[in-house]
Amino acid sequence: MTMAETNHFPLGARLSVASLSKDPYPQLLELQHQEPISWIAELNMYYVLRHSDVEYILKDAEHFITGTESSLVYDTFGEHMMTVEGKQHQRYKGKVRKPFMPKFIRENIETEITCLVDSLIDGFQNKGQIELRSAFASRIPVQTMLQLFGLPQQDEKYLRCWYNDFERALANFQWDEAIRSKAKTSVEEFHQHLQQSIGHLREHPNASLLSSLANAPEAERLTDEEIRHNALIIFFGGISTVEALILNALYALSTHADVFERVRKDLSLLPKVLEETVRWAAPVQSATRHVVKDCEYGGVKFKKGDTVNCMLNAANRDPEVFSDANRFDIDRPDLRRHIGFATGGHSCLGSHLARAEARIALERLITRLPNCRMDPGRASAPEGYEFRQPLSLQLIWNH
Amino acid sequence: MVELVFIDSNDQRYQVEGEVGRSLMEVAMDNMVPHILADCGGCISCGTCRVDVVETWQSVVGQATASEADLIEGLDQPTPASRLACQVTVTEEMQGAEFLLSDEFC
Repeated sequence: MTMAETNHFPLGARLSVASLSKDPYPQLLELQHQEPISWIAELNMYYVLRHSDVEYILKDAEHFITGTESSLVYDTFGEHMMTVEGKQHQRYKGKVRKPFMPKFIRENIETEITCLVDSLIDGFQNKGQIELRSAFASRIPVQTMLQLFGLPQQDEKYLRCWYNDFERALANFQWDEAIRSKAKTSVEEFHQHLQQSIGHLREHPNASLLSSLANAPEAERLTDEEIRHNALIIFFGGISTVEALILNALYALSTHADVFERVRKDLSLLPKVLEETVRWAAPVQSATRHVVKDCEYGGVKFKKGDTVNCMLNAANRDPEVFSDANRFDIDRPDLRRHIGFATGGHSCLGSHLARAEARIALERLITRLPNCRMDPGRASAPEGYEFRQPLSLQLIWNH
Repeated sequence: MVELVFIDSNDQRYQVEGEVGRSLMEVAMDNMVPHILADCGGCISCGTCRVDVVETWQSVVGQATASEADLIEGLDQPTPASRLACQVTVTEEMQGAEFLLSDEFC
């Protein structure tokens, strides 16, 4: 972009990306108001900030896609359901969709999640306090994914390590070579591990997703490489998002005592709490797209190769859509209009599973730990540029 | 505007008014009809706006297109009457049309 063009976006030219980690909202909402599509000089990419514009771009797969060599998700994980469009996208997604549908989750997975959750709570119920992220929130999604894939729970420690490398790579907007290289090593290790499991499940089939993929009739089966690549993105997508949803919801409840009180008396409000948490404190801040064909939208001429970051966090606080948007309000009539799980062809496959895991986690914590809440003396707000959650959350309760 | 009726598996009926030319999914979302999630916003990608057209209305509403049918095939107990509401455009002829909601998404 030329200097003259950069001058069209004075706020974007000045934006300090590091400063968004603590509290992105004041700066992003100012940008949304003054430069709703802005060029962020520091990142060499566009930000799109209005709800309607984000929705438009995420649905326009003719011009804006995820799978180019300049995309972090492609660079890290290669080809999978998120980096392809059209028939290949449907082919991949169609093979794995079933266990992520609400009815299937309710009938086949919720009981197992409840057991996992209760087993973790058993380990600290008598203590009266716990650092919830490490002891609980970070473990539930990994254990759930292992269960879903039919992998042994002893794999948790490996998956956690690999996952941390993947997460750093997906937020590596500066394309740091050391971070890329570490992630590629972990991806390779994950593939080797998964290939062994595929072989094992061919000899000993079970009811898991991985077994159903590995043992599908040959004519409709994905290749082993395709299975591994798609399994990896499912695994990646289902970990810190859930961890953050649990922690951010507890943060929101603990800082809104009146709402927490209502929820303690009526757990059926939890789905509303979770929707509002996704809107108000989105675990994932953005969805990145790449321009594959020159086009003009919103007064901006996009060129092939441009990177466009759809800012889900700002869109979810767009005052044109949500009244009093900075307020955490589980009674707003348009709770489901948030796009915290993105929208369009690549909307989050695991959103219903994430909701189920977080709902069960909160239900069991509230039920089993009397008057549980974040320790007000050690409160920690969500933070992070791309993935956002409290770095630790001290939970206390009466015992 | 035409009157449209969504019916859940407990026979609860949701009668709404729909603007001709809008998609059935948009009408359902505007009226907060339960069990229509529309996660992908109408991209034939998620299947979460699936409805089953009541038999007497099938000829008016029409059958699923090929790409729609591919997706429907992977949903819970698909039938020839299954449609994605995002792919159904509301017409004058649909006055009073009835659609069964799937409890797959409740």
